Amino acid sequence: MPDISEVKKLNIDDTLYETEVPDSYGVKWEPKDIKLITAFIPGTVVEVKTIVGAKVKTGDILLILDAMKMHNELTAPIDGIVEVVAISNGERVEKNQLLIRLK
Amino acid sequence: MSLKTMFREFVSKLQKGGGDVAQEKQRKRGKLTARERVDEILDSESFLETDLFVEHSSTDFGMDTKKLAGDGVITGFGKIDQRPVAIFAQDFTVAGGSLGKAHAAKIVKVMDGAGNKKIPLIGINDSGGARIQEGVDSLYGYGEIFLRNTTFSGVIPQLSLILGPCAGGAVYSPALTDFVFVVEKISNMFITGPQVIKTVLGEDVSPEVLGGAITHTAITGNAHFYAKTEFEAFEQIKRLLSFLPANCLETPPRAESKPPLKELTDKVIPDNRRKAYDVIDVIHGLVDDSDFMQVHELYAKNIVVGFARIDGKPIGIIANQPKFLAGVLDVNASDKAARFIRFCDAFGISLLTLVDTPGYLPGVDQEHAGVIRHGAKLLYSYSEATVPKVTLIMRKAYGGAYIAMCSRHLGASSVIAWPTAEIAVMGAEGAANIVFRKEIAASEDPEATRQKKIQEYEDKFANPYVAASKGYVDILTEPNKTRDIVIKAFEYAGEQDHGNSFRRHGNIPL
Repeated sequence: MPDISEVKKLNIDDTLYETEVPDSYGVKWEPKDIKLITAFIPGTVVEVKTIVGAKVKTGDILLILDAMKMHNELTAPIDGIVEVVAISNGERVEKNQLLIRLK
Repeated sequence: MSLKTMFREFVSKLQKGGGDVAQEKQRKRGKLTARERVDEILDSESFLETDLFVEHSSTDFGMDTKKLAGDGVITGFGKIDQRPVAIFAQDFTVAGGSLGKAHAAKIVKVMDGAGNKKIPLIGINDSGGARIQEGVDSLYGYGEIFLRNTTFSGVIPQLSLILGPCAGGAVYSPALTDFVFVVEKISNMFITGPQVIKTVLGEDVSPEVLGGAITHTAITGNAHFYAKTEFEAFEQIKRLLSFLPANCLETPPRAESKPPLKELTDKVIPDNRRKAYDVIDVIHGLVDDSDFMQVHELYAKNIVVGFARIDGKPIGIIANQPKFLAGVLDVNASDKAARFIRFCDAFGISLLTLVDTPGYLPGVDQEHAGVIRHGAKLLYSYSEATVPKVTLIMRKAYGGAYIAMCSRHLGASSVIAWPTAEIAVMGAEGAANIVFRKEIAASEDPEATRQKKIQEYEDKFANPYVAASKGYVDILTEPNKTRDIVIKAFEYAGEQDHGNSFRRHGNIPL
């Protein structure tokens, strides 16, 4: 639903303006941790293609996620070692749920 | 039974749409029937209905035995304030207003009628979507409608009322039209409905939150006008049409010139340069009868756009709103203003731009959302527009935002500024921090030096005189004399000729 706006101070080029600012403005941006492989869409894990401790290379298929009538391949974004496999075959996952963690 | 009785009974049966029970159900949902809607919108006795007797020719899935009154849509021509319009109204009581081939053909026919006669088209959407039994024929129907929405875009005004469900492919016809009207608790628009989202994605969301009236007017910007009731929406349609020409060749309808209800005084701009004020007050002080019809009132509130009259002539107003987010330009504000400017330019409606903006909104989310690409639409639209363009700089006009807000450099016919105007490459604080960085750092009391330098910069550049000395501002005046000057500026401004009529069209960054 729409943002609630309040009169706050808004800094633009070092000048502070008194004006209405909605809640959604100023939410701190944080860079994505690329070692965390999360579900970009809710779906069902078809097959985990790796195990804890496995050495993986960029582009290796880590698991297959069934979503939107498609078997989506989730691949390793970096070279690394699989530290955690948080799901198993056949499991339904929510959006943004952690699937695999690399180190 | 005599022929006459038979005819009359046939007509009366067809006019009942889905029949008494279905109509009662429609009313219980808080909705008017399609026929009531047409009657309410049009001047009384003006409606000429066409294609009442059209039937579908589908035979699959038992459709051969199903008769659908008017194939679920009412079409024809009528008048609003004595000016002709074309209209179609989907009838939810007939097979859920579903769109099949014959239904679509009726809409297409009335659209072609509107295109030929060059009169506005009003579409009332209240439909469950494609008629599944008719298969790809219903898709053919949507495509034919989309094609006409597009080819008539910029030729005749096209208005869409969403008075019920409008889902899946059906949403794209309204989305291609100029203005979309939604009504609280009645309108629903989405590509995939809550049920599909639930099954496919496991996400729970109500139709109202996903695609209700507030969602589309305040969050997505898909709809331009929000109303509490259908009657309010009909009044909005009539009011909007009163500002618009019937087509792109006609001059926008002139009315008698009326003075504003409130006079504009110096007090409209607060003494404190960092204090916000409501730009609507300025607009009310400038336009005829203080009558201003906002478009997209709830969306991207940091910019205000809408229609008014000045000396009786319709104009489109684009104004930064200091009251909200200091009046910055951002992704949504750029899109909102650009679409409005292009509509006005297409229909020969002059543009009045009121400037008070500190610049573009800083932030990672804005940059990642493509503020460069979206901001470019605003520059493109202003530069492209050939209608008379008058710009009034009320206070801050800094940097890129100064250029973007219809500066002289983008082809403004006249640029007017108030003594409170600050036309500079950036705000004093930011500029002083950059220009005098070394001096400030090296001084014994950096903060005192900083303040002194800010003051120096402000005294020198935070005014309209530098820009006026270079001819970037044409006229300096005070608030209480501004209306007269704006009237004259429009009077003496002509249509511009960019001299590139050989080109097919430009490539607006979308």
